[in-house]
Amino acid sequence: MQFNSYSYLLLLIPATALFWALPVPWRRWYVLAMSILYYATWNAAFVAVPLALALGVHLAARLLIAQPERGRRWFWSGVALVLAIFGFFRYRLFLLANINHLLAAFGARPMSVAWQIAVPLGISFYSFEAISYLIDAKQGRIKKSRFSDLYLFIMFWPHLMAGPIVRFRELGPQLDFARPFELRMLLRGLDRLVWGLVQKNLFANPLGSWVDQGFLHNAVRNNSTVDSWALAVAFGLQIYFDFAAYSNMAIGVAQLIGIVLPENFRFPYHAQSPADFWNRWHMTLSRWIRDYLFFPVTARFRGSPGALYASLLVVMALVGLWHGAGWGFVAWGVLHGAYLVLYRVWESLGETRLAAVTKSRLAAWGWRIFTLTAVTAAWVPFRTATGADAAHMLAGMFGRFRFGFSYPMDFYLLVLLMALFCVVEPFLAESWTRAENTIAALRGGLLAHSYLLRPAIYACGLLLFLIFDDRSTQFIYFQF
Amino acid sequence: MLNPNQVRKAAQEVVAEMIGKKVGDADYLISSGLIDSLSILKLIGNLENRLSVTIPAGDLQPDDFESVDFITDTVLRVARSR
Amino acid sequence: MKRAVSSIVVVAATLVCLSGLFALQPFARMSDGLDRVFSALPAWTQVANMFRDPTTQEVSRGDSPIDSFRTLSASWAAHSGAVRVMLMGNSQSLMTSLAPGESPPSGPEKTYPDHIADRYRQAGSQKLFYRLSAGGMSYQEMLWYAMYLSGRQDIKPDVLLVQLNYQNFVNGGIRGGMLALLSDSDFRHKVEAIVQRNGADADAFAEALHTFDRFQNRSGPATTSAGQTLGYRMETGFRRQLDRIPGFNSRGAIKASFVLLMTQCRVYFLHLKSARARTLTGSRIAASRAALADLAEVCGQSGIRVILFEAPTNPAVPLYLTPDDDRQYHEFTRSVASRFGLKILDFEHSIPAGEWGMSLNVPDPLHLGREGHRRLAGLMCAALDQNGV
Repeated sequence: MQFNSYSYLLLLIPATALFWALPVPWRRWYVLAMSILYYATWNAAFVAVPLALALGVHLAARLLIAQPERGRRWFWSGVALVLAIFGFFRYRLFLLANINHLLAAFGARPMSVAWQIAVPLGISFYSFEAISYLIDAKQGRIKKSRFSDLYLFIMFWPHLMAGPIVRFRELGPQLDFARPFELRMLLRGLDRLVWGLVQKNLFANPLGSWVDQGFLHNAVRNNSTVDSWALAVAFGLQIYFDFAAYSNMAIGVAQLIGIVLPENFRFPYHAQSPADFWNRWHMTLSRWIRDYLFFPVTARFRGSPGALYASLLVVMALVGLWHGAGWGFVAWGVLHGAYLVLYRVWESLGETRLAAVTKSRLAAWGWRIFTLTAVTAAWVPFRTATGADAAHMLAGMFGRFRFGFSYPMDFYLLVLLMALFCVVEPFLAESWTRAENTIAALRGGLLAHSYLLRPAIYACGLLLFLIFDDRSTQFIYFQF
Repeated sequence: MLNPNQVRKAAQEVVAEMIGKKVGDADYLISSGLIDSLSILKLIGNLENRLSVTIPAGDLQPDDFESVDFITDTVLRVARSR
Repeated sequence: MKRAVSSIVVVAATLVCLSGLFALQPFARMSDGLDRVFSALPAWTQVANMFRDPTTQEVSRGDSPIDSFRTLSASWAAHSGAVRVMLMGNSQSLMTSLAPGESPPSGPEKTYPDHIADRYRQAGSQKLFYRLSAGGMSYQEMLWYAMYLSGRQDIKPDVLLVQLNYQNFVNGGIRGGMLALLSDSDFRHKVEAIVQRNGADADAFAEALHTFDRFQNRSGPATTSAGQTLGYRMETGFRRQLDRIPGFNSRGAIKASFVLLMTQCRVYFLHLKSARARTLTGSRIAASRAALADLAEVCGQSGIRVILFEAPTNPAVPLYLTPDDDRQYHEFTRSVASRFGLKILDFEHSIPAGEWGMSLNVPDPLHLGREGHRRLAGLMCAALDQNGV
């Protein structure tokens, strides 16, 4: 069941009502049952995967807490188990394909591709959460491992498929579901849910249909420079709206039952630098990388810029690989790593006599423009089917100029309109909050706002969602 | 043995030095964007020099340095004298 | 208790507002309002009540051709021995945009293919006519249909009239409704062969296969979406029930009015017309050209006689940006015709400016008025007679 499917949205109403009707101690079991059922609507057999993973991680965490002297061993056993399950489903075929390439290069017979098994949805996300659980246990942040807590932490359905990637210390304490009901909570939840539905159907999907065609093998070879730029921007916008839509829906639905999930996006295309981009884009992933991978690694190599830069590149390449088993994703990650290194080098110049230059307004604008351009360029290998396609498209964008427009005018207008929306989005959000506060401050304003204005706005959003509904599309991040 | 007041004072000074202004002990530094994750490493180095201690950062997370209060707790918990 | 009531009020108020919006058709009203402000021609000039006959038209307009072909098969089976003539084109062959001075419709309006079908029927001639058109039909879609028809003896035409339209060369892709044809395994093999050959038109076919397989869960390990999962079955059930709610089915119409509203904003406020003179370059034109050539080849191999026809263009709306665009385009169509020995009927300058509709206060680049359809039907019938059809 997709978050934007009719069945999900309609079942959500009674499911939420029943949640609040239940006595507090029953709620966690109810939510767990709902989560398992939700996962089973995709593939009943795959319910076993997160269960096995949670069991293994729980056992490792218990042992490492009980036997601190053997902590390292249990910790690494747990991590190895998670990576083995994750790697088996996610990277088995990729690895085999690459080995076969090598074998073919040496004239050897390729290995056969055994086991045609699908990738369990959300595995990238819950694997990372499981690893963070083990690290937290090793660092003494989790004093006692309770299986039901861990299993619910992983399975909690609003974030199961594609995040936000939550830390146990922020979700764990909420899993007693003891928060009393407040109307404000319901309204905040519905705000996010409806906005997500509109973002997905009205913003992301129409861009997606153009992107799907424009990134095809032969199209890439015949597109003009303007086409390639428009398509790269269109994909950047599509993936933003698509994933932000999913995140909004996840956060909104959790809010309906009183759970606060962390934010995932903060106007990423307003980033002032490559480093700032990662403070705004898929924030829970970059936080995970920072806390559990980058910080411990760099902390060990303190003071060595070379090691810092190398670890940035490696870590970002891994972030790319996490998105999918393909070299295009790795290239995307490496590009981002390179941007970050470049920015760090520039920043370190700030500590020299060049400080006045690095802190100038011109430099700030330069970095803004660089970030937008570089992030857009990096989406190219992320989206194209092959490395050759990516090279073709990037060459068309940056060197081999060809003029003309291949597509109907509506495509270019749509991209322009969506880009403009991105520009004004923070101002719109701010004005919306201000308008809400003003209305609420009026006499009777709060009542009118909650029971008239909001329902009317929800209805408008739902109407747009319904008329732009296209059953054949799915969320991009469900593949990762 | 480190003195909590001495650690707090050192933390306040190091933070103020790095961001160029004084902040409250409970103010969030990382999530508010005042300090980024790489600057935390510099912050740790500065604290180590000032207090003449070693802070083994391998088992820490940036969250442990989220505010002056957190920094004080963290240093008192993990710092070893040189 | 109070909290429960407050939540119910919010949800109920939302549903009431939503039903109100469905009933109100807000976008259509806004669009009417804009038309009034900008003194556009009345809405009835864009005819909504078009003539409908599933035995002479693919009535779903590309949304569910399989159902239409079932009807066609039964209809043609009853007239064995007759010559089957089929026409493929874009919305010019499906819609009427009444010209200034033409009276409001008094019943369903007919398009030029309908008039041709009528003439054949009235003459009692042993000829059957069928319109296989869809709005903005791309040349890849025409090839898609041609490949499918060539493998179905029961609905294979003897003569296929293929519309040539400069603007249409910029359209691409295969729409969702046409993907269902892939369940025919012979057809699927043909599509796979096109993909394998990897010509400029292969992209749309590869994408079509991919989308179809994703839905059917046939693509192996890469995805786990859709297909026959429990969630998919539940969703299908829910949708079936929801579609029974009166008014819920008008989603398509509301979307169309929303899209129209956007177009109006573009034309009225930004002064950007739908059809601007342009030079065709890049990926789309390459794909369309390849598809047209492949269509001629596929039909030639399976004994379908293809006749190309240059669609009429509105003299008041220039489509070619430079004389070179005009020349190159016609050189291309002529080269396809001579390569495959096809006849081209030229109707490009056949309809005078006064017989074209108006759209959003500007001359319609594509759609004919009532008289324009009649005139074109007459010209086409005569040309077909001359060419032995």
